[in-house]
Amino acid sequence: MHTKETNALILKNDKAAIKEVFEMHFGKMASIAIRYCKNEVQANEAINFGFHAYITRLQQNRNGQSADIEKTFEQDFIRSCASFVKGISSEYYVASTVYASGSTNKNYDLFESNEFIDFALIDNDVLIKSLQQLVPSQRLVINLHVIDGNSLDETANIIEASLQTVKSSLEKARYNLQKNIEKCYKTMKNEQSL
Amino acid sequence: MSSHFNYEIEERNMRNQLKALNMPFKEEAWYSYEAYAKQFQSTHKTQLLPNFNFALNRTVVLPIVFGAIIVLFSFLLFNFINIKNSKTEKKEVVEVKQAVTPTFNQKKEPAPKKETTIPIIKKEVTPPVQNTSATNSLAAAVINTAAIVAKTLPVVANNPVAPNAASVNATTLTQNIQTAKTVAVNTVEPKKKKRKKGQVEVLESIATPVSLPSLTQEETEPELR
Repeated sequence: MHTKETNALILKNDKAAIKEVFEMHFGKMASIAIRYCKNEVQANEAINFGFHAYITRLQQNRNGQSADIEKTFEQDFIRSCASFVKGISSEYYVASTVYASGSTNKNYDLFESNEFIDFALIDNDVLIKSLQQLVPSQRLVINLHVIDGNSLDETANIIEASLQTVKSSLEKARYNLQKNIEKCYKTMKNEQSL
Repeated sequence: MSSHFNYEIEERNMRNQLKALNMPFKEEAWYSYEAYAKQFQSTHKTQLLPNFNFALNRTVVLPIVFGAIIVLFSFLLFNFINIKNSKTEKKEVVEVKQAVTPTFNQKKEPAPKKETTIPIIKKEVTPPVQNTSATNSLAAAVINTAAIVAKTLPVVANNPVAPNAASVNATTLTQNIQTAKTVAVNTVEPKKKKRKKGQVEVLESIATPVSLPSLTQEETEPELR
């Protein structure tokens, strides 16, 4: 938590003070943004968007309520991340494209899928990668409801969708996440074997 | 989704794992944020004046706005319509007449130029005037006859036989005089119109010599052979 002096400097738009706050919150912001976005580039954009919104909120609040803003920083950043992902509407259509040539990497090995995967011990990289591969709407629902602990109603309110839509997309997201994790493990094994 | 699907992911573990995740700070991220923030700096500097927020309800604002519209509209109508007493209007009319008369005088000033032409017109119009005088002369003749009759009336009055006839003659005479006057009046008016319409041209006549060359008895005609 930053001091009152840094708050006063932020009000004056002092760069050093803003950088200090940015350094302080970057770890948390990056960990949130990376699972909400499809890749690292988009995650950086989400960090910029969310942090700028936080700074402007601090500068507009001249009544000394910065402590309250500091407390709700994580929740506010999650909401701004969600609105950022929701704002990129083009992402939704790209995910549903069907390639005319089809996928060439087809595996007909019947015994390969029977390998045991311990879902309780999944690597962070695999987990994040499988989350990033989800469709944005499903990614948003699983992040908001499952990971960040919002209720279904709150999630529906943040996404601006109906409860039924949230439920159906949560079901699809769970299925796709598990499949993505399986796929990621397989690819990792193939890479290691090579 | 197939019906044989078993969801095996432990969400609680996944949540704890992802919540505990913390990324190291990168200088590149700060530079990218600086570049992003510069886009919005120009809009931030423009707000030099403090923002005044007046909390006004709709219930207060709407009546004021409607009242202002009504007042403006009524003022506009008042400019078009003059509500004044008729007495004041009459006074104004009198004043206008006084003001107008000098303008007529001013217009009549150039008239003397025409005066030079007027006597010529009078000369030209003299013949119709003579006609009117003829009509007047008719009336005058009737009047004269009436006067003669009037003179003879005392004689008639002496005769006890024909007092009624005399009275009848007198009444007829008076009627004749009236009709003559009316005729004279009627005859004069159209002739005045003629004056205006047609200007009678006076043709120059050459005076003929008194002694025309004629054959005398002394001069003999040459015989033709």
